Order: sequence, then structure tokens, then C-alpha cells
Amino acid sequence: LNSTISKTRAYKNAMKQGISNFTRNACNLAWLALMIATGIGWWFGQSGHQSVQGINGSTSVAITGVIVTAMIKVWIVGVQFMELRSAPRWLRHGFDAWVVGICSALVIISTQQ
Amino acid sequence: LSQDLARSTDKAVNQAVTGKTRIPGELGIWFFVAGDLIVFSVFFILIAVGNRDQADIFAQSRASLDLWIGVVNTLLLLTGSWFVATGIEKCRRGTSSRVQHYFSLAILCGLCFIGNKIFEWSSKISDGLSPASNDFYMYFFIFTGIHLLHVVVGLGVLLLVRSASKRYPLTKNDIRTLESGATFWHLVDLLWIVLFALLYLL
Repeated sequence: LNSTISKTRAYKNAMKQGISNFTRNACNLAWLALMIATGIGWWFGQSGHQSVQGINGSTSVAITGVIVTAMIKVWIVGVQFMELRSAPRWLRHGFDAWVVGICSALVIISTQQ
Repeated sequence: LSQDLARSTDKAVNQAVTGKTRIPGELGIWFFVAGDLIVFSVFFILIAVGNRDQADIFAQSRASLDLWIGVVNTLLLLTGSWFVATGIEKCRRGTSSRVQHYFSLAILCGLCFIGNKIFEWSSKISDGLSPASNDFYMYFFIFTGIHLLHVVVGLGVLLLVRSASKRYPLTKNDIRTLESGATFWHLVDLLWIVLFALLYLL
């Protein structure tokens, strides 16, 4: 029994160590955030389609959710994967401005009646 | 000479670690990225305007798309980008001798994306849908087609990145070339994220 307990403990510790090593890396965290954001965007999309069929209230919230989630993903790809986090200010902020600009334009157009 | 090369690689690593600003890759690739972002911004706006003006047609056409294919393709590109970013990180640190495998995995993701896209397009075409069907399908085929062209070019770039990553030791210029290639691949991923949201989810 003791050996089973110690094996389980060793396994748990190895798992903890593995997870902690994985989450310590910014690239891995970015990937994880992108996966979760894809799920959130999908959920917003589904809730919007249901509301078109009259099941629940506002489509504008769902549309805004889909677009904003997508643009947050775009920003994560730019800053983390394209390494704009360490780029000169003009390049980093130029990208930030594009993300905010296109996100606003898409939300405004898409939520107009 | 090898000491000089190692020193210049160390300098690139230190810049990345100490937080000093620098342009990732070559400046030229960023001009290309900016141009492509502007062109695709027009595409994104066109889809949003179409969606507003022809809400019923767009909603019906969107419902006929297979959402799963879009989701899987998104996950493939995001994971491909993750492999490329991790590969570049390892190249810079020079800690892994098998760094080219990261790029091979990214290429595999890209190939699966293309396979998935061909399957999706052929099933739509066999259902009688084409760019002439309506504005939604016109945008769908043209914009995802232009994006697919980017994926194909991106795969060629990744093949070059993969073979360049085998060099040892990697010079500062090698690292820059690798970063430029990676930046193009991430751009392909970035553009798909928005196309996926506007065409499949909205």
C-alpha cells in the first residue's frame, strides 16, 4: 500500500511540475489563451444564432462578443507570437492601433440596424 | 570565427531577454505585413457591410457552412503558430539540436488545413454552391481562396525556415531570416482568426 501511495505522490508531483513548466513559458500560455478564446468566440456565435431564432435577447452582444474575442486573439498572436512585445514603440503601437481601429469599425458596422 | 558567431547569437538572445526593443525579423517583412493587413481590412469591412445589408441571405448561407471545419482549421493554425514560435525560441537559445521538428509539425498543421479546406470547398461545390450563388458565397470563396494562397506560400516559407534552422551555429542573420519567415506564418494565422469569426461565427 505504501509503495502505491508513494507512486501516486510521485506521479502527482511529476504532473504538477509538468504543468508548472508548461505555464511558465509565455508562448505556451499564449497558445492556451488562444484555445480558450476560440471556445468563448464559438459560444458567443452560438448564442447569437439562437437569438436570431428568438430563443434569447440581444444579438448585438453576441456579435460584439464574436468580434472582440477574435480581435483579442489577433492581438495575442501579434504581441506574443510575432514578438511585437519587444518591438520598437512605433511598430507595437501601430499594430495596437490597427487592432482597435478594425475592431471598432467591425463592431459599429455589424451592430447597425 | 565560430566565437564571433556565437557572440552575435548571444547578443540577439540577450536583447530578447533583457527587454531592449528591436524589430523582430527584417524590416521588409513588416512592410509586407502592413500592406496585407490593409488589404484584408478592406475584405473584413466588405463582409461586415454585406452581413448588415443582406442579413437574411448571410445568415442562411452561414448556416449551410460546416462550423466544425472552421473550428478545426482555426485550432490547426493556432497550434501551427505555437510550434513555430516555440521553434524560434529554441533556435535563439540554441538549446535543442532537433529544433527543425517544431517546423515540421507546423508544416503538418498547414497541410491538414489545406486538406480540410479542399474537402470543405468540394462539398460546397458538389452542393451546387459557387461564388456566383450570392454575395456571402462570393466573399467566402474569394477571401478564403486568397487566404489559402497565403497558406501555400507560408508552407514554402516554413520549408525554408526548417532547412535554415538546421545550421549550426545560427548567426544573427540566420535568426533574422527565421524570424521573418515565422512572422509571415503568424500573419497567415492572424488573418484566418478574423475570417473565421466573420464568415462562420457572426
